[in-house]
Amino acid sequence: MIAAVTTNRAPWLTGGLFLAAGLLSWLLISAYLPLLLSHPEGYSVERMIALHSVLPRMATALLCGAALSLSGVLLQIALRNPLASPTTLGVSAGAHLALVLASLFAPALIAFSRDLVAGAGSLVAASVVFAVVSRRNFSPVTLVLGGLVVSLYCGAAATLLVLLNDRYLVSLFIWGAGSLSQQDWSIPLGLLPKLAVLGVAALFLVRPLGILSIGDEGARALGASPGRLRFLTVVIAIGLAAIVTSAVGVIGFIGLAAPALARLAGARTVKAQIVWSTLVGACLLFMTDNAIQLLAGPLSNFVPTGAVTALFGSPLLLFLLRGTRSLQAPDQMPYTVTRWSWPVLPTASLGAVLPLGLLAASILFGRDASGAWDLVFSSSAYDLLLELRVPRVLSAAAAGCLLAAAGVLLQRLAGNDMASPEVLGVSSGAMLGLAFGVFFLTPGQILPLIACAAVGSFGIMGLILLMNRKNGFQAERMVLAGIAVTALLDALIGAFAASGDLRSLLLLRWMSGSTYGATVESAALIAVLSVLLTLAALSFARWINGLDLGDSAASAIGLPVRRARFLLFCLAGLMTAAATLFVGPLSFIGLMAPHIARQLGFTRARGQILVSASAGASLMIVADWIGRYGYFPYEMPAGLISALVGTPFLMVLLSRRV
Amino acid sequence: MSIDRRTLLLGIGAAMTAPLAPAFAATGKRIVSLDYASAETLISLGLPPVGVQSSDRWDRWVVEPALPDSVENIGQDLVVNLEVIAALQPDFIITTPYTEVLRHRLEIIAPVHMISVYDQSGAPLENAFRETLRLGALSGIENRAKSYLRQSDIAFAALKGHLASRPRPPVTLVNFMDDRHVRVYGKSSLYQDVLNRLGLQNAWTRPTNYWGFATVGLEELARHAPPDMHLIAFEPILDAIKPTLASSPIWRTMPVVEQSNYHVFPAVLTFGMVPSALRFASLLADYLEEQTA
Repeated sequence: MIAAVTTNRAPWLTGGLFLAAGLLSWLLISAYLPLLLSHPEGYSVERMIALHSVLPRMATALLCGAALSLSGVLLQIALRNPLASPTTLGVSAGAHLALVLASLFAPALIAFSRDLVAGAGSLVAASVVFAVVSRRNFSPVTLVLGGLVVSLYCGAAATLLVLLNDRYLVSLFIWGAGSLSQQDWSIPLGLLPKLAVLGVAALFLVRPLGILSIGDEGARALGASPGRLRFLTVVIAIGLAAIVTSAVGVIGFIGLAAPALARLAGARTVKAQIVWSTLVGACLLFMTDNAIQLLAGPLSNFVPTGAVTALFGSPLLLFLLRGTRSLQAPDQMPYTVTRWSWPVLPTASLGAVLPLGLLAASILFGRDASGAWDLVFSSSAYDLLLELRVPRVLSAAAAGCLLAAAGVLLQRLAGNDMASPEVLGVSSGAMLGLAFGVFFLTPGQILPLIACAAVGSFGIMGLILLMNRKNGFQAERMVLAGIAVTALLDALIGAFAASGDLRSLLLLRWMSGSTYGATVESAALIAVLSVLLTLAALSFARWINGLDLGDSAASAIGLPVRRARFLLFCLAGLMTAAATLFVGPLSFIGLMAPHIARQLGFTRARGQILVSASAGASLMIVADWIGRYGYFPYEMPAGLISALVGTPFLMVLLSRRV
Repeated sequence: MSIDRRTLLLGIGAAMTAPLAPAFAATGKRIVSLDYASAETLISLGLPPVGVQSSDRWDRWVVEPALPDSVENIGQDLVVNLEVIAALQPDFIITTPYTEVLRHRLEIIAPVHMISVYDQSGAPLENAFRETLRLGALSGIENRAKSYLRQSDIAFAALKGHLASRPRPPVTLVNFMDDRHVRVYGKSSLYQDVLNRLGLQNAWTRPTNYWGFATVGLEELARHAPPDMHLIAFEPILDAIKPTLASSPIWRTMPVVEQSNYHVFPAVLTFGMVPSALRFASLLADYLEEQTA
């Protein structure tokens, strides 16, 4: 096997990490040691803290690090995918959402078993990802894209629940961000037997998985059943991650980082990978957590460990992507496949009429102050109502149209139908800009905030373009870069929110995306933008169709491939930035609308852009209307509504394709 | 002594609301408040607002003064329902620095006034007195506001005088965030100003943020607890927290818990104005009195 060729330096890596972690923990614990060793008379708060907070926290960090890394390496081996991990497959986010749902609607379930609730959530999330991805060629990047989309979806749902439940759920933030702080030994002692059972089960898998690594055919010849073995391994991995999430919350990227480090250090055989990843992971989280306590300790402000691991984990994901050229997905998606072929003319005219009809209906029908259904003109203050309502409906339509068109551009550039502006990172860049504005500028002014958002989105777009200059703007890498930025943003916002800063609620509002802030001027602006930019996209239709042929064929017919990619990407970024200001970074319109258009039979660039813009506008108008009246008098953000309603629909659509 | 004080406190409420409510209901201004604090002040002045944010959650966060049934729900503070506010046809709308971002949207409907209790000065109670006067002036009930504040001053002084002859242990005031973390109130909080008024000591002297609180782990609380302090937690406390606390060694062995100096108060609006300050002062005085009775 290959393993014999390279020397395994993973033991040295583990030893080094352990020494570093030990040094840090010595700095933490040395002050307490005399207290721990002696038996002082009476009450000593420092001794209680050392015994019941510092030591159990260290034990928890070691256990969770080991379990998450074991889970990650098992997933990577079973799925033959070096990017698999509890974070990138949506497993942790699924557990998180399940726990939030249960604590709100069925606290009895949580009382019965937190672990089972978390496990069920993880299983559902993983099944959705596998169901979607299994119909295609299971390329590593596609699997991770699917997993991260599910992660974002679960995050969006959890955010909406938090928003609707006010400050009551602040604790869910702390927990969601993965706080390792402990009050007693119950968590580490509770984790130990559960993790031990699964760990031992994993040990029994080492040999069969080793056989599997020579290839499915060979394994079958030796009497193993590859399918069943993979399934069992994945279930154990999911169990490990779910138990950790249920105990301490989401601690991202450890399960991705540790196996990667172990492999970089030279762990090649299945056994070496499993053993050393687990140990590296334990030391890694131990070290990180000690470092956080040393740095944040004097500030007496706690920093959730999960947020910090996400901070260093997302750049790592990018690094891994750069290093693994072999990962380049071989899939140019077959854009000509259609399920139904609808008559073009009726469909096109419906596409033109539907958004207009919805626009009018959504302005006309509403509710009065007491909540009764009402026509707008029956109110005495109807002119005021119109002034409030029309800009919102208009910006919803325009934003939906922009996101849909941007989605078409990105999906065709990527040759990947899981690409979308939401996961591009541009919208997250806008949010980062907004966060800066909210925290560092004087409150109360809307224009500087919008400027901040624009600067943020273009900054991130520039960064991603710069990073991808060398490989000719392959949009798949760009989308993954965007996802990494999104994960970073989530971590930052989670940390702000956990610290209890009230401004984080304002930020959450922006993030969840509502047309609420629309004014007559802003609505006019985005309406004009949506028309102009969509026209620009249409004028590029020849390039888009040309790029579908593949880069070499496109060059052969005289297309400036690199310049075309660059310009189209800029256009998509501009569309996303404009739309994000109105509907937030997560709506999945840009993911759904292009699919709808294609399923209706519009596969050429021009037709797909037009039909998808119409579908995007219609979806967003409906989402905005539901957001305004569904939970009256409370407002629900249109962006989240469309994400919640649209994503399951999208999943069904995707899994139907063969 | 204690009867006198209760009569006095009740007296403020009764004197302000009972005779005035009907009088103002007919002629008073129609006010919409995006903030509980201004709403509780207006209710105490006898002129309840016509709409307040998240009115259905009032009983969880404010409790007293009770919210009249006539007050409409205008949705959540950062995204109040503009259509509902427009339908209520208010004379003016009250924001805070926190909700000031909505000003340009609200001004389409009615004039907007910002009531600011939390600012750089870090003296919320003093600001609350000043803003109550402003609120009175805006609503055309300036004299009501003046006499309400006068009576509040008398009430604070009476409570202070009453406590002067009794043991006054330092207190720590917290809201539980989850079973491991609390929000502890100190410098720049309304509670701190009330403690100062009553001549009481806050046991938490460490830094706090702009709004006068710090979010810390329980162990941090234990580390900075003087042995004789009393720990007071405000409702609402999540149901899941109580059993977890009961099994935590750090919590159980904290002297304040072992000596049963831990007590749960009903909800008091944390970021309130004078009515909340008075409510907290009277709850605290009652509690300290029970302790030494």
